Amino acid sequence: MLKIGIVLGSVRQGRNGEAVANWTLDFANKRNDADVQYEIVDLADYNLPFLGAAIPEAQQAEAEAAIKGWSEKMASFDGYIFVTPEYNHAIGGALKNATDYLNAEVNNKAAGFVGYGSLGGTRAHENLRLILGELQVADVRTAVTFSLISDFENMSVFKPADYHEANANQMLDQVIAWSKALKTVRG
Amino acid sequence: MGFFEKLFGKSKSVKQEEPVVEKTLKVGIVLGSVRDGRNAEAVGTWMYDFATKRNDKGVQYEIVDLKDYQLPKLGQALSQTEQSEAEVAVKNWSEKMASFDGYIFVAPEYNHAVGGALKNALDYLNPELNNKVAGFVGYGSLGGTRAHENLRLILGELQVADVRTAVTFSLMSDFENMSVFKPADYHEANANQMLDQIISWGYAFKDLRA
Repeated sequence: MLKIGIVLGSVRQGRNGEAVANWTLDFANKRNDADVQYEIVDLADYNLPFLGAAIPEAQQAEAEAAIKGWSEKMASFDGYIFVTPEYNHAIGGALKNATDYLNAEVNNKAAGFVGYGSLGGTRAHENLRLILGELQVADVRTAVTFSLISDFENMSVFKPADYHEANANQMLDQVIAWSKALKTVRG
Repeated sequence: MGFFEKLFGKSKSVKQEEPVVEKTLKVGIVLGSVRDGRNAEAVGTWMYDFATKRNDKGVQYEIVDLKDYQLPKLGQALSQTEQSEAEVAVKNWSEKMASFDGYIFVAPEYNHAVGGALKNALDYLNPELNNKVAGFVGYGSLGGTRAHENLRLILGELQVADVRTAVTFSLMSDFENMSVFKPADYHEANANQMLDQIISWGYAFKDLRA
């Protein structure tokens, strides 16, 4: 069984990421890929402190649990699809901080990207490629890039155009193929 | 000296009093790491001492510590108490950053980019930084240079003019055990060049904002 985690990379209240991640999950599931399981991982469920920050005694147990939970969840996948917005031409601080906690959990796995923003979140994608490069994750070619202007009403109600499905299929094909291949590397 | 001045000598009788315009520049040295035991403190302090020793006329340096502003993650859900605390933190961060004409970002490199705390903090800002200048002091296995290049793109969107020269400390050779800061002398050339650029651009942009 190949397990793919759809990582919801925004923690903003009212984030568009939820609708986009749900769309991605539904779209992926409808494909009925043999022996592939998709699951949403919501960054907002893991109240991760900023890496290395001093934590008051009372909050220590909670923080450790969050970090452990995040690590175990991410380690459980063979591949990832990062769903994220673009903040100032890069990914947001919450997602960067979360990925900075990981390394062995993600090594030798594959990742795809679903972005949204004025230009489809593509600059966040290119930022993430470099980060994933260091984390030894194979980032696939094709990304799904939703425009806040044309794929949303009022930049808040998700109404994706049909033509994105071609990229979504291509991305999923690549993530599955690479995840399968890299699974053999991991033994 | 013109021909007439050469022939007749420069007139000494009229002394023109030029109005003295106090040009001041405030530069914030931003400690871009919140890690307990971070190297940023030693590096930031070194930068502050180095800069102030230059006695740049009219230039004031000040350390801004990210740790002092317990900023929540941009937009996240907060309890009532957390909400009011956060509002104060964000307001203070905004006001502090708005008070400067230029910045020196002191930052480590995490996975070839800046860390989440610094990125998150910058994402709260925009007008506070527009049309100002910034330099960079990095540290890492390769001087934090990839974090620098990451920051260039972020600052680009925030309309901050990032200067050319950066100071890049190696965790291998400028630290003992990657934790005791012992910077080699040769970095001073870059530090001076960077500060010169920040000051020169700093004044130019201050005029632009006036």
